[in-house]
Amino acid sequence: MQKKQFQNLFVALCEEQTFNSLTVLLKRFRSILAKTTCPVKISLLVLILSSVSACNDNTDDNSGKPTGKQIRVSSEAIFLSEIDSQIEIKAEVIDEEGSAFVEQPNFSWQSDASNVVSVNESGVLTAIGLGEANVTVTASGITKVITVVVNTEVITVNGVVTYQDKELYSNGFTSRSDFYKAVRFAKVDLIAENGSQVLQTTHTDSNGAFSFSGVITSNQFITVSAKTDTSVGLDIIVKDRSDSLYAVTKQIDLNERENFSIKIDTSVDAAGAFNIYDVFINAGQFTREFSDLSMVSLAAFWEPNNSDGTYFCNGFDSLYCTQGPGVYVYNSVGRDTDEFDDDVLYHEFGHYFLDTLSRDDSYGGCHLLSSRDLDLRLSWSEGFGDFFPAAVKSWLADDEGRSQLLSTEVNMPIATYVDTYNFGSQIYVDLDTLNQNNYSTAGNELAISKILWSLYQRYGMAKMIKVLSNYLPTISTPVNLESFWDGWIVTHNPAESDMPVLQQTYSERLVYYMNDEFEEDNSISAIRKATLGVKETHYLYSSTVSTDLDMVAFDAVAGETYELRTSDLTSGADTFIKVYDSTGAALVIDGVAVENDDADPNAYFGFDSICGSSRVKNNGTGLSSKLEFTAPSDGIYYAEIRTTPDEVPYLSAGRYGTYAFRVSQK
Amino acid sequence: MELTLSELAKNKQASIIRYSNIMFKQNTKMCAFILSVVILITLSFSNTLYAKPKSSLGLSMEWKGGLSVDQASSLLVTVTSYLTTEDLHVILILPEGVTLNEGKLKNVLSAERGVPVELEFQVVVSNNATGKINAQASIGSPEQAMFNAFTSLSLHTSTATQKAQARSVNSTFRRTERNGVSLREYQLDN
Repeated sequence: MQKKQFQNLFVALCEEQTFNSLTVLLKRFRSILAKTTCPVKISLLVLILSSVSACNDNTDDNSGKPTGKQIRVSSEAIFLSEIDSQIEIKAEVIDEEGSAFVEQPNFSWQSDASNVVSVNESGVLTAIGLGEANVTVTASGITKVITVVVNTEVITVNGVVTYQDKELYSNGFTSRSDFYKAVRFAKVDLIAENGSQVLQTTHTDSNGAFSFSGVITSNQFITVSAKTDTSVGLDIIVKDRSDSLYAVTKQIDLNERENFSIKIDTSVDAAGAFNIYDVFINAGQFTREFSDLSMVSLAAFWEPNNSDGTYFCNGFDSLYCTQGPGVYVYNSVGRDTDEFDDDVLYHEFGHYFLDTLSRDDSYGGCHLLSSRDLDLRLSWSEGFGDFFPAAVKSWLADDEGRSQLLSTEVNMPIATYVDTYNFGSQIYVDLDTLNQNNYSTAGNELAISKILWSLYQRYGMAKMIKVLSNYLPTISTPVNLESFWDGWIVTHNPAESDMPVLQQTYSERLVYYMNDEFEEDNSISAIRKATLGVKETHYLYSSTVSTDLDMVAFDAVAGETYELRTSDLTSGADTFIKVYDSTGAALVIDGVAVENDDADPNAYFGFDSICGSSRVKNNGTGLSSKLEFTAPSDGIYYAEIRTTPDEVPYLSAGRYGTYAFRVSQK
Repeated sequence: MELTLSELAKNKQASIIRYSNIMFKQNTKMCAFILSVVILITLSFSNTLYAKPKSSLGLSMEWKGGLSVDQASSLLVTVTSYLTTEDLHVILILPEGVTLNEGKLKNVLSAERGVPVELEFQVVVSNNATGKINAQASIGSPEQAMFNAFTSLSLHTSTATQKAQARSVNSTFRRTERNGVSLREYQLDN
C-alpha cells in the first residue's frame, strides 16, 4: 500500500468521525500490520500517528467537533417570503483565519422539515410551506446549520441612518469620537436578495429615520444614497469624480427591525461625502428660509486623493469643471482635506447662492485672505463666501432644534472660519475679533465679510437678500461692494439718522462711502486752495452727485514745474487728474491736454508669488495718476480729480474709493 | 485695431482686456504679443474658478547643498508672512533617525509683510532614517493660529508607499448601477 493511499484512507476515516483514537485505528489495521515486516510496521505506525495527528488537528479533544476548519455559508438565516420562491446558498470550507481553501469538497444538504423547505444537492432552497426548518450542510466532517423561515406576513423595518462627523475647533478637529448626526432627507432603497433590484424607495426624515413595510427578509439590503428628497425643496447630490453617487448598503437584520441602525463611521470614506451632503442641506435650508427659491439644486464632486482643489463651477469647462456645475471638493489625504471643513463648504455654497439668487461678476482666481488690492468683483464674491458660513451657523445656533446641526465645539465663536490641514488648521479667522489693520478696504475679502456680518447682525438676512436678489441682478455696472451699498440705499432708503450707523459699519473697515472733509468741492466756484507739498485724503464719493469730482486749486508761477499725483489708493479707487487754467478751461500745452489716468499702467496687473499666477492689482501703483507741467503763466490753476473716464470703466476697479492727493513744486 | 465697448462688456475677462486695451493704445506693434499673453492669463484664471481662500503664509523648505547621510546637512526654511502684526512661529519636527545639529526646533520671529525670512537648520540624517522632516509655520500662537503653513521633506524614495501608509480610511467600495444610476457603494457591517 502506497503512502498516499494510507493518507487518503486516514483522511476518509477522519471525515467519518468514527475512528478518532489511536486504539480504534490500530484495531482496524491490525491485520495489515501483521502481514508486514518490522521496518514496514514502524513506517506504517509513523504514518498512522501523523495522520491521526492531522485528523485531530481539526477536532476538539473532548467533543470531537471541528474547530480549525469551518463551513462558511452565504447566509445563516434565510427568510423566504413566498411559497415556491428559491434561494441558492453558497458554502465553502475555510481555515481558522477565514481564508477559503482552494480545493473545496463536495457538500451535502439536508432539511429537517421538508414540508417547509426543500434543498437540492446544489444548495438551492425552495419554500414549500409556512414554518421554520433547519437545513444542515456537511463537508469534510464539518457541519453548519442554517435556519430557514418561510413567512408571507408583512413586516415593518424601522431604521435610522447616521454618519460620524468631525468636531471643529480653532486648531482643527477635536478628538471627539461620539459625534454622530442624522442623514436627513436621503434616498433609501430596499434592495432584493439578488442585490440589484430596487423593491421600494423612501427617504429619511429630518431625524434620519425611515421605515419599510412589506414582505421583508433578512436576505434583502438597505441602500442609503447621498441624494435628497426633492419634495423638501432640496436637490443635493454628492458624487465621486467618476460621476458615481455615494451610497452605503447594509444587509437587513430582522432581529433589529424595530430600530435598524445604519451608522456611517469615518473609517468609511463615504462619511466625508455625507458630511458634504449634510452641510449643503443646512445651507440649502437657510437659503430657502430667506428666499423664494423653490428648489436648491447643487451637486458636489469629491473623492479621496482628489487634488484638483475646492471651488465652485457654475457651468462646464473641459479643464476643471469637467462634471458640470457644482462644488468640487479637494482631498489630499494626510494634508489639506476639505470634506469635513464645514466653513470651506459653506463658502463654496455661498458662491452658488450668489450665482443663483443674485449675480456674481467675479472671474474667480486665486485670492489671499490678506490681499487688500483684489479686483472688487473678486473681493465681493469671496467676501460674501467668507461671510456665508457665519450667517448659516448663526441661523443654526439661534434655534435650539437646529443648533445640534453645528459641527463646532460648544465654546467656539460662531463667526469663525476654519480650514483644516490634516488634523490641524491652516486658516483660523474670527469675524468678531477681526484685526482692522490686516483686513480692511473694499479690496479685501475678509473686510467685506466683516461688513456683511455686521449688517446681518444689525439688520438681518431678509433685508440683505432684498438687495442681493432684487437690486444687484438688474444693474449695468459690475457687482461689488459699491453696488451693494448703492442697492441698500435704493432698496431700503435709510433715514438720514440711520446713515451714520450704516456708514460706520463700512468705515470701521476703512471703506468710506461718505463725503470727505473737503466736500462740496465738485465745481470751481466752491474751490479752496491746496497747500503745496501737503498730502490730503479724499473719498471718491458724494452724497449729492452720482460722479464725485474733487476740485483742488493751487497757485503756480510761470516757468515753474509742478507735479500733481494721487497715491495711497484703496477700495478700488482709480483716479484721473485733469488740470484747468484760471478761466476754468482745460489746460492744453503744445496741443496736449494736461491730464493723466494711470501713472504706471503696467503695474495694474502683476505676478502674485503665493498664487503662482498673475492677477489684477487695484493698488496705488497701477491705478494712481501722476503728471508734471510747467506753468505757462502766473496764476491759479485747478486740479480735477475724479474716477477714471476710461472707456471700459468700473470693471475690476471701483467708482468710489479713497486716495491721497498732493501738488508740489519740483 | 480697437475692440468695441460691447465686445468688451460681454467678456468676463474684461479687466484683463482693459489692460490690454491700454497697451494697444501705447504700442500697436505689441498687439499680437499681448493677445497671446491674455490668452495664457485667461487660461490661468479658468484653472482656479471660485476657489477657496488661500492662507496668507508662504513656506518652503529645501536642502542647502544637498543631503549627506550620517553627516551634517543644512536645511533652509523660508517663511513669508503677508500680515504684519503677528508673531511668526516656525516649528521643525524631525522623524526617527534625524537629529538636530544646529538651530532650534521652536522659533519665534517678527516678520515684515511680504519679506521672506530664512531659517537655517543643520541636521544629521542616519542611514536608516525614514519618514518626513516637517516644518510648520504659523501666524499667531500655534495653539490658535490665524494661518498655518506646512511643508515637508520626505526621506522616502517611493511616494506610492507613503500614500498607502497615509490612508487611514476604508476605501472598499464597488461600483454598481441601479435604475440607471451609477453608485459608489460601500458595504457596511456595523
